[in-house]
Formats: sequence, structure tokens, C-alpha cells
Amino acid sequence: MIRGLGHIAGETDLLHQQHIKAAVADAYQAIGTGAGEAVVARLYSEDERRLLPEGAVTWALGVGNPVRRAELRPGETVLDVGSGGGIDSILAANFVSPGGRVIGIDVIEEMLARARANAAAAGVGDSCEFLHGEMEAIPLPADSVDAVISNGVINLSPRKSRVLAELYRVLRPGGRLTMADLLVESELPLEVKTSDAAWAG
Amino acid sequence: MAERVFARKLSKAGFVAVEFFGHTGYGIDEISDYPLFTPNLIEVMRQTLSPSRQRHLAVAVIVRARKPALG
Repeated sequence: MIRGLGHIAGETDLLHQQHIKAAVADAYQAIGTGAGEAVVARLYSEDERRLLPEGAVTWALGVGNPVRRAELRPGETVLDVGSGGGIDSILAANFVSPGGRVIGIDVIEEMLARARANAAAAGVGDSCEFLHGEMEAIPLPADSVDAVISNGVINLSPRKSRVLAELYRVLRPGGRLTMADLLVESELPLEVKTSDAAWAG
Repeated sequence: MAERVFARKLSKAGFVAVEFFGHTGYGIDEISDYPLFTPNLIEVMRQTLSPSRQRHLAVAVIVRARKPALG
């Protein structure tokens, strides 16, 4: 009986995870714009801003500036997890050129199209590639990237341990993870915690 | 998720040299800039959270970690 209940609990957890993933994807598909100039002005310098086309600024949704702290070097391969409109991929491409490349992954097709257009507009389209893929199952081989960056994305997953295991798998030995995210140190009210919008944000 | 919990998950995944820095407080005013936080959710937060908690909902951090080198 205990094993049976455990099985049911496992299925419930799986359904809950699937619900959260679907709610997050729906929320991202529903928005008509990113956070835009207000957030870019807070997180990026004037010099960084000058490298960005308007589309990348419009679709900014990050909570930090991981590229600034990633110590990227020319020739490196960088994975941008949850690349969105491509803002951090574009900045990273400027560090790893010449010879390097940036691979962005995202689950939202519209975001992938925006990122490709924005990278091209920024003049780094040749060194950026944007792939459809989940952060829980990254479509790259093991030990294939020098650095991973991510901005406000890992926290969206209901399977964070799985995501971190994937980031570890794709990094080469000695590779670096640099990410920005929101952390919550104390409990939020149930009305907030159970909101799909809170998960998406 | 709290910082200590995230640090533990990183270590469990195999990462080393885990560091957190650039802590920046996020309150309702900051998250309102993001369209993913719906007006309804913002209103629920204003109704259910104390004024001080509304100013300190979450902390944005930069996290760095490394996969150990071979040998």
C-alpha cells in the first residue's frame, strides 16, 4: 500500500511539474513585449547598450548581467540557457569573437526567431546559433561548451537539480557557469506561491 | 528558493568554487517592470504582503561555479 501511495505521489509530482512548465511557456508566449529600457538601463552599461539593437532591448527579461562576470575569451563556445530575445548572447558573442560562438537555447519558437533577428541586427549573427531545447534536456553533447550563461531562467524550472546536472554535463572540464537569478529567502503567502504568474516571473 | 538551498544543489550536481555576489533587492516596484508578473498577481502581493516585504520580495544574485578540471 505504501508503495502504491508513493507511486501516486510521484505521478502527482510529475503532473505538477508538467503544469508548471506549461504555465511558464504559456506566460512567455502571451506577453507582447519584454521588460525593455527600464530593465536594460538598470542592468547594462552604456557601452553594452550601444552593442544592442532595439529588438534585444525590447525583449530584455533578465535580472542581472551574467556576461559581465563570465570572463569570456576569444575562441570560446558559450551556451546561453533560456536565450530569450538574445540580449546576453549578443553581448557574449562580442567577447568570444573571433573564433568563438554562442549557442542559445529556448523553448519558445517566437523567442528563437527574435534572437536570430536581433543577433543579425547586432552584426553577430554568424557567431550565434539559436536552438529549440529544454534546459532539462539540453540538445548538446557532453563536455561541449567552455562556459554557460543564464539570466533569470533556471528559477523557472520545477526540476532545478535536473537542470544543474545538464549544465554540468555539457560543460567541458574546467568550464564555468555564470548565471543571474532571483532567490527568495523567506516564504511567500499561499496566494502568491500558487500563482502561475509567480512561477513564470 | 533560498541561496543556501541553491548552493547545495550546485554542489550536489558536482560544481565547485560556488560563489554568490551582486546581491540586489527586488521589490514590487522592480518586478512590476516585467510583463510576466501580471497586474492580478501584483495586486495580490500588495494585498497580502506587509509594506516592508513588498520592498524586499526577492534578491537577484550572480552565481558563479566551475566544473572541476581533469586530474
